[in-house]
Amino acid sequence: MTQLVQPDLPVVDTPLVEILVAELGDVLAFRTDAGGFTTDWNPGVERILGYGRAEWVGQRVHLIFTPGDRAAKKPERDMAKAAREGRALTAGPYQRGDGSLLFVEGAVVALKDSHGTLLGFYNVMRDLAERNEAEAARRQSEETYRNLFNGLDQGFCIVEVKTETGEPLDYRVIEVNPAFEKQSPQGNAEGRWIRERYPQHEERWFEIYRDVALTGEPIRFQERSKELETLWFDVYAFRIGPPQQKHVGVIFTNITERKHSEQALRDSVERVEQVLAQAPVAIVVFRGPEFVIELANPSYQALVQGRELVGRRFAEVVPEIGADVWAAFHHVMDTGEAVVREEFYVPYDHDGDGIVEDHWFNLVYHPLRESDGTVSGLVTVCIEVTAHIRARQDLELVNRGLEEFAHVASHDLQEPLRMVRCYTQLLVESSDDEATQVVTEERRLFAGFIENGVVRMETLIRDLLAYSRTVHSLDLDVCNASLETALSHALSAVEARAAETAAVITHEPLPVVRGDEAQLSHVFQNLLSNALKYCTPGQQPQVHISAELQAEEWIVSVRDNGIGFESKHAARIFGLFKRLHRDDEYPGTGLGLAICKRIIERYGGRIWADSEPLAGATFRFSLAAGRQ
Amino acid sequence: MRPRLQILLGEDNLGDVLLVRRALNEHRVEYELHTMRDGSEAALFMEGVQEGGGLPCPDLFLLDLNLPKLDGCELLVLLRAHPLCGDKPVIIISSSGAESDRRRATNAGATQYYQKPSDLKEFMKLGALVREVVKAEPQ
Repeated sequence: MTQLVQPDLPVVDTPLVEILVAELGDVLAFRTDAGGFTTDWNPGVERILGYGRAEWVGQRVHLIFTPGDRAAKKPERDMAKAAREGRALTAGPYQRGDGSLLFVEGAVVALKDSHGTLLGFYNVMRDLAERNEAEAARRQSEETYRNLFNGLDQGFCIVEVKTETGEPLDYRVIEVNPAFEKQSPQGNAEGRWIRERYPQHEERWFEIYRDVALTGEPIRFQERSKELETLWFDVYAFRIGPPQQKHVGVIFTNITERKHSEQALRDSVERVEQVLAQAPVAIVVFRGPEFVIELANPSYQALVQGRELVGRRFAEVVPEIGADVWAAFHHVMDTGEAVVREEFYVPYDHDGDGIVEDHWFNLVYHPLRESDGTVSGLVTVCIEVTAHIRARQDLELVNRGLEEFAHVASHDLQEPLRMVRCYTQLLVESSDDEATQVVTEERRLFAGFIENGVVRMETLIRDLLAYSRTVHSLDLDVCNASLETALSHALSAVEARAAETAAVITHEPLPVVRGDEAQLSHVFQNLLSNALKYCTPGQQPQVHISAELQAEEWIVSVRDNGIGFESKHAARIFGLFKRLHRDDEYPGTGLGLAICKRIIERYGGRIWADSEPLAGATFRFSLAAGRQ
Repeated sequence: MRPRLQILLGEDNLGDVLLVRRALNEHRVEYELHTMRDGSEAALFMEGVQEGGGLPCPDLFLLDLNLPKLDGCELLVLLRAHPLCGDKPVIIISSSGAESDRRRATNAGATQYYQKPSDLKEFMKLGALVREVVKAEPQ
């Protein structure tokens, strides 16, 4: 048991009071001297106020008053009233040693001696436990609220709305949280009426806050403000406090960036859609194992005129589609590999007349993957090449016909010539048996003319055929061709003539080019034949072949030391039947160089010649370098 | 005396018939020529080739590729299926030098392909070819 400490002052109160004060642990009881300095202490002081005896005795009673009460001189007033009237009732929050508030009620009783002299005061107070719990809860809630308020990443403010009739609708911010400035970089407009500060602020803002303040119905909205650099906000507004205060709590997030990225996304989607819409290729997106059409661009829609596409299964849209397409679809779905097809034959009913037509497509089936890598569908990009294939088939047909015609024509044209020639020879031979020698000589001369004509005609037919073949041959084989090989074939073809003229034909290493060896051999053969034919009389023919790489093409030169020609004829000699000499000077059909030109141009090259009379000629042609 | 070589010549051009005779003469081939002016005439002749009372099969066939009605190659196919003449040597003659024509003749079963030259001396070499082909045949 704790003893009430006996003060140094003379004591006149009753022992019963002493005991009660000492025993009542939940009662706060202490004594002060007349000046308000504490003189003793009961256990309640320590339990309730948190002051130990040593901390307590000798302190002014002001210690336990709130700063407000102290400023209001409540301790002095209480004591004065007790001194005057014997006691003063007191209630309200007091401050504990840790600064927290304590709600108590009690009395200050004056302690006087028998002469009525004031000795001090008794202070007796009861802890209002319920009241204090409520206060603790309120403090807890306020603290939570503060934490929330301060810690909230969203901007928060309380606005006060002005809706007085006769005055313009307005509002102002009266409190903000720390995140406010982050979310609203224009800064804190705290305290100022918005209309004054932001004259251009949209009317809608005012109306929304007015409605919330008046109706108490919370609202969530997204709005932007020109005044705030056209920022976008996501706002939740709710009434806060009593209705007459017209306070609105506003929680908001600056969503400008989100809005911008949403816009960018929308723009980009729009662009993609535009591209899809304008694309000359047909594009269709399928989803899921049922191949449901998710998207089809106009080019694709045109392929399947008048059929409903989006949201329907492919099997249901184009039931006539063949097994090859399904096989490709399943390959893409099963393996995740793209399938690329050229001139893929896809028969289906394009015009909806119930009859399946032939169609060909160049296409790619590409897998569509989810973020986890699984294939969830495929996109088909295709372009119809049916017209192209048909044109080629027609052309092939025409060309086959032409080839046939050329072949028959050559045969049928040669046939009568053969008869003319053989029987002319027979005529001459049979005349030898007769005795009329003079007539025979004349016959022989005439027969010679006939035979020359026939040979010339035969050559012409042969060259024309060769020319027509270079024109019509469709099996244009553009691949790597070794000019070394082409030249060696040509050299064997002109071997006899070269030996006859004792010509010297030399060449440097020759490259591989884009073309066809047989055709290019023909070019060399024509150029070499010309070089050997148009040689300078009395001079050994010399021909040199070389090649030089310029940019990505080879320039091949065939240089001779023959009679040459005037440079003004350099272009003319490549024309059909164009000749610079009489047939009795140098025989020929005028087709050799035309054939060369035709072949070289077919492989994307050029052919030309330089020469001066008696200074030899150089023929050059260009061809793309061969590929590795 | 050796029996003369029985030759069936399918040729519509009289000029060529004379040249063929001349070439055979020049190379001293002892022959008897049965000239057929078109393919169906030749086919009809072949129908008459039978055992026991029918015509005997010729020893050699010279067929122009471009015979009217049935051409040389069509005739050759019939010939190769003939029970008596299936093994006889056949020379397809033509003024065409086209590779496709040569191939066609070879595929149909020709023994030789001879391109008619426009030079008389060259044409005469047909006689030598005939001798060669006949000599190579087992008698």
